[in-house]
Amino acid sequence: MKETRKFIKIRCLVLPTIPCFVDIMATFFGEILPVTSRAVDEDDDEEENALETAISPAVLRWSPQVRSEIESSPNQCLHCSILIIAVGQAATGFTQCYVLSQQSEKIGAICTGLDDKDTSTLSQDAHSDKTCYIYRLVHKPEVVVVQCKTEVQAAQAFSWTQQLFSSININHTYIAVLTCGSVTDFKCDVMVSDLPAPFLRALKTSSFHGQPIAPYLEQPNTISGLPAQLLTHCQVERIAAVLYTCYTDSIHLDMNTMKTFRPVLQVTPLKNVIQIPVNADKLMAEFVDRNLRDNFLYT
Amino acid sequence: MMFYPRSNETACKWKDYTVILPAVSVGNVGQLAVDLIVSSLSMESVGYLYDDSILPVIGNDPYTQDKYALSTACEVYQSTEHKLVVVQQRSPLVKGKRNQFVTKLAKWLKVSEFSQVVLLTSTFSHERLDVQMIGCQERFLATKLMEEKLGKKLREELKWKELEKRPSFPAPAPLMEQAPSSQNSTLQATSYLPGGGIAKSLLEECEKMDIPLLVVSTFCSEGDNVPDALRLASHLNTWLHLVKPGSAGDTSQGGWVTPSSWQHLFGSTFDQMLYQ
Repeated sequence: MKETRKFIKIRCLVLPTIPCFVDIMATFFGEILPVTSRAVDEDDDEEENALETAISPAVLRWSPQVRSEIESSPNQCLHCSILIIAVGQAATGFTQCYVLSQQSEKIGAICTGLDDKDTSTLSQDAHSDKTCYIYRLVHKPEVVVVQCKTEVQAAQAFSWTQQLFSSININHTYIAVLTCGSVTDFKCDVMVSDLPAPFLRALKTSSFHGQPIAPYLEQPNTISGLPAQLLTHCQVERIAAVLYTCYTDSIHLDMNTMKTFRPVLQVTPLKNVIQIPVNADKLMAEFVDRNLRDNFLYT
Repeated sequence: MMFYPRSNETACKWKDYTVILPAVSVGNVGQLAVDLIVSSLSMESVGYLYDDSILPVIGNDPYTQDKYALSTACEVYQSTEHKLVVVQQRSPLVKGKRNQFVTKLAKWLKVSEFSQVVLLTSTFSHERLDVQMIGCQERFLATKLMEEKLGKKLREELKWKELEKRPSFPAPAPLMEQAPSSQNSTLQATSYLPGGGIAKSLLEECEKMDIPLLVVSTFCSEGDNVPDALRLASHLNTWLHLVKPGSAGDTSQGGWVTPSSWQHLFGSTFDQMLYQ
């Protein structure tokens, strides 16, 4: 049972530069701690009086060819029957090796704002890359894959989602969101060390009538950020969508984690459209090697 | 409009209904209390509040393990038997968008024609005045419309306490012995709800829009806030009579059914060998 500490609040004068009063607490054992809350930030009131936070909205740009396709389509949207959105290193690595290794073309990009000091690379190798690229298969242009290797802030997720879904015809489209998390965040009765990581879990919208290939995510675990925003949009707009999340015990990208997504390709309609490449393992090994190099400080 | 119904048959106007919503506040007490209400009354999900001011979060149905249902960050539940609508907010607001959320929320409350609105919140216990440190820890605040409707009943019949006002200049200070109006005219009485989330903002907005709002707050600190939530819900129950105390078979819970998702509130079990 969690111990409840008794706190004694003290308001004291803090030096050296500007005299000001701060709220601190002395615990029963004499430690001095600041008063904080997991739910609210005491600076909230001041922030509301200031200018609205400068969170730049997401911006989507299509290639000239796709732009003219959209302009000539009856509903001003890109047609696709399969939309896969991969968020995070492991998910994007999986789609890179298993889906995009077939001939694919870059058709668009969603940018969530660059600072002057940020580096932007077309292959999203730099840590400061804030662009997510949209691909489609050359021989099966109805298959569209969005690669989100960079972190999209939760506050930008809404505009990111709106930009994407307003430009693609998602009615009667199979939508799959792939993401990854750490097994240490997974709450259950079993000890973390005994969990068979990596493993897959699923969530789906009410309009998705199929059965996901993985067990449903158990209470009280939750998903947040961009993947959550994507599925929330589909739920409130009554669009069929499924999310697969992989819980891994590896802090670095590894092949086992990426391979955990393989069962996703065995479901309809993906199995009819996407063929698992014979050199998938080799591609994954190269992908892991490329990403591992960035993780070492002295190389 | 920020309300998205689950189906076309969902009513979007709730005349004669009470709506209860939580503020994301210290200890998440309002949200925990709302969880208790939804779980105990087995309320049905009828829609969502969806806006760019709410941070996204999703999960499996938090109230049952028998079936699957996707839950989102801000969901609307209904009980026709109790003429009650409950909004549960599971994530904080985007920084800088609180005013936007409050404005849109107030508009939705007005358009939905609820007969009364109840906001459950909490406020830092370390900011209590001496008189607040003993006795009942719950306080209420009401808009003018709500005061006319219920003020007398809450004070005289239910013996609820209104939140004590404090002089606002130069900073919210301990209560003065005499009423501020008889003192220096620069002193103005204000309601002070530190850690209370949107409570004050919503109160002001509802006052402007003539919405009958009652804010029910409890004093608490961060920690295991389940007892605070039970206390707040039970306090509300003395007015709304949503559950019968003891009817769930466990008198220590005051008639409330805790949701199955309240397991592992402080994390999973860990290997005891770590400490040997």
